Amino acid sequence: MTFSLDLHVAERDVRLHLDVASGETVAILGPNGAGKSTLLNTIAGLVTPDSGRCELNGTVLFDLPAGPGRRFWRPPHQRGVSLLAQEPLLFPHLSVLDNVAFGPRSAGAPASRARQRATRWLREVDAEALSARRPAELSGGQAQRIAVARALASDPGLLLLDEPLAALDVSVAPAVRRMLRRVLADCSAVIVTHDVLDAYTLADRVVIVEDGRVVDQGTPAEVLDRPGSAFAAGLAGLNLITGIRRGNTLVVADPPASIPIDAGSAGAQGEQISLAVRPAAVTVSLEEPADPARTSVRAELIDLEPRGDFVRARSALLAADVSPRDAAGLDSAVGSALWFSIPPAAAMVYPTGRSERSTPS
Amino acid sequence: MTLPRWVIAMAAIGAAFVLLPLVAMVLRVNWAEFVPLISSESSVAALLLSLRTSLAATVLCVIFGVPMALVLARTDFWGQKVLRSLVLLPLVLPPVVGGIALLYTFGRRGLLGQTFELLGIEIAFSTTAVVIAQTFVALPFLVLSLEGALRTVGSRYEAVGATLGASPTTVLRRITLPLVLPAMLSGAVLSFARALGEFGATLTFAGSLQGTTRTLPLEIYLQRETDPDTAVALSLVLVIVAVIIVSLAHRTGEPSRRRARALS
Amino acid sequence: MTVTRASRVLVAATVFGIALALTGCAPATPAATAPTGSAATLEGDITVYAAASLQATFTDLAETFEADNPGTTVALNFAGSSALVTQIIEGAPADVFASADTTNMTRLTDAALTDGTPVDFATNVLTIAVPPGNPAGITDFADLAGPDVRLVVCAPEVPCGRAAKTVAATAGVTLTPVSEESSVTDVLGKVTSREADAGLVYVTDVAAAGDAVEGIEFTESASAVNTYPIAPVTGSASADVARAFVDFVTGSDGAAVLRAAGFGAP
Repeated sequence: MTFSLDLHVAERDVRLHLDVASGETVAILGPNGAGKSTLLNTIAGLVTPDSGRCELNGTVLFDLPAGPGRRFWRPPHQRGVSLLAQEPLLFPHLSVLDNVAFGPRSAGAPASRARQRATRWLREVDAEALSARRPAELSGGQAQRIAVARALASDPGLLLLDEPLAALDVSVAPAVRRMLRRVLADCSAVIVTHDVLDAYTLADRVVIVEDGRVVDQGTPAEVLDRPGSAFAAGLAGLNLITGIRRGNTLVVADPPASIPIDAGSAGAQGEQISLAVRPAAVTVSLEEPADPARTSVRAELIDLEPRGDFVRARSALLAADVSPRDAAGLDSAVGSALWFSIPPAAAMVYPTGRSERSTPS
Repeated sequence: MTLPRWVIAMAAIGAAFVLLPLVAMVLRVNWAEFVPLISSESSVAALLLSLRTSLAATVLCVIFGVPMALVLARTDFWGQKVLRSLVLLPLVLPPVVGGIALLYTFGRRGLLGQTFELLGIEIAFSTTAVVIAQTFVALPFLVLSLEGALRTVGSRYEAVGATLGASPTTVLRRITLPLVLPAMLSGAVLSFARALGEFGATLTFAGSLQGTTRTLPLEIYLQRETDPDTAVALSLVLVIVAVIIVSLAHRTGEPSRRRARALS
Repeated sequence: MTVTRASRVLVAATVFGIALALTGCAPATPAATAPTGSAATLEGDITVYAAASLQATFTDLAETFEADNPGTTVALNFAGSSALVTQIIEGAPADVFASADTTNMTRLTDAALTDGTPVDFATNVLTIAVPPGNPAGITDFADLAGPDVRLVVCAPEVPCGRAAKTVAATAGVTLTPVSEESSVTDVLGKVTSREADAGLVYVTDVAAAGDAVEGIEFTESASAVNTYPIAPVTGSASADVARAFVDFVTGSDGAAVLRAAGFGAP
């Protein structure tokens, strides 16, 4: 284990444990205010928690016992932890090259060696041509590339990324994301993000943090295809229905519903199970579908929400993405009960508690 | 926006109020004798002394004022607000009061004066006393303008620098100070101007002797008694120096505003 | 410096003006409204510009004068003589000018602003002021040139500095002051605060300073006797009051007060 962290912040009710293996990239997902930025700032040494312990490659970053005992706090510049924020925060008075050379220079490298190193990293992020520019002369995407190069040029034991793509224009974000995927490949990193695409493309493992606690973790596919929480399901864009298995039905308490499930589904009798399905796979109709293979539930249509080229028809239980044409036909039915149906094999049914889920070596 | 006419009229009156006395003074200048008046031995001695002491005071302001501004802008401790207002006190204190306070500190019978005397350092009636008086009144100008700039720039760049492995001293040298350099320069220029104009504290504390403690304002005050022409000529010299300084401060102050815009 | 007396005059003048406006009666001359009494009754307000060294004595004299002449008020403005002359020449409303030296009175006479010939009414000589206890052990004028003596004098540009220069030349002593102040008050301040070991000031300053300083008289002071002339200023609205005040100062009453303060007879 290269990196391990135990963290306790009483004021914000944060109590977290996090491990990062050598070369592993861990994505931390969670709603706003879940304590994700606090987590990164604590690792970087910019925020002091009430108690906790953190170790990186055998070096103790901090050791703050909850009870009596010697408190140890290593200052940020001695941690070997780089923090890349949403905004690039390039030093405005230095050229691009000197920005990237800042880390090596601070580590004591001679100017020429630091610049060589900086040039190498600029090449790595496809920005060598920008060396002589001032930060004010860069576009947002260019600046963020330089910031990545600068963070990596300081040779951090752990790279922290705080929503690195959130402030970028949608047109440049994909290119920067590809670049990040390349440079993070053999780098220990923790990335805080809102974007499920970041998690899929950049992370080896996903950790879901809610209300200051780790509520779920696993590979992106495990966590996001079979979400264990409403938040994760929302991120993955899935309907999530959680209930108790009674025979071949999933019994939901609120709103009360019984959903037929396949006899071969996972989960024992009386166990809590979840059903996940993409809204695009769900259809809505006024009459009960004739096809017996489809799983159908009757639910009240709450509203119709236009989303670009489709319309989301929402009920308390399920949401369905329908074409604008179909939506027009449903308009008068808002407020009344309709049939939401799922084709066979589109739904994924799995036991809800997944503490047994694999964690990477 | 379009300003009401009365606002412009009031502004014009205000501007005239500031400029008219200067015009009146310029009208009284004896131009035929101007150069001989300002190049007399006592005038030149006073001007050189003023420039020398003001420069020394400005250096002291930078040496002590920059750390003071950093502490005020970057740390948080009990009583900091009170400390800030006390440190800025010389800004609003009547100079003669400052002179009296300095007298009781560095004077022969003062708090520190006796210690200095034991060490063989005499401050009273020396050029050192002038520099002390000037530093006392000029220091707040540097602290104030620098602290404001430090708060505007914020500490986010400094945090980034630290996570890149830079020690606090390296962060200060390579990030903080370069970022606030324009504000530091304009603050230093303002301090220089204030030191150059210092009169009350010097008169009370340092005395008045040609070449040693009689700075330009003291020379003007003395000449006014008997030789108004010299007094007016020297006043004009001081006004010209002040105008040059203000325009310099204005120019060095501009890049910091540009930078602040770039940040936002 | 105009003392509170001036504001009292202002209040009196304002009240008087309002009273006139209310009664709708405008007197032709102040004398026309003079109350019944002796034929010599004076009425009117004057402003006296006097050298700073006259502050204590003239404040006294003005009060006595007002008591003797109930219809009069005397406002006083004290400053350095040369500054006062400059102000009068620039048009300041002075009715009487009392100078600490003849040079400045001559400036006023040359400007044709004195009403009649100025009259000398007092003299003043320099003395050595030392802090109580005389830490530097000064006994005579020659001691002032000692290498460890911190001497403060007036700058040669101002009257007390000119006098000091004359005295030093007569005594054949080269003075090396640590400071040349622009007024006697500043010299005295340096001595009372013990920053200086000795200062050259006027006898009257030492008398006025009380216990704060000790005076050491020296014979060479006779070589620079400062003469104080006084004269009414032309164009006074109360010329008779101004003239009466000048007569009062130069008369026996004035002499008594001035001698008591250390001034010499002219």
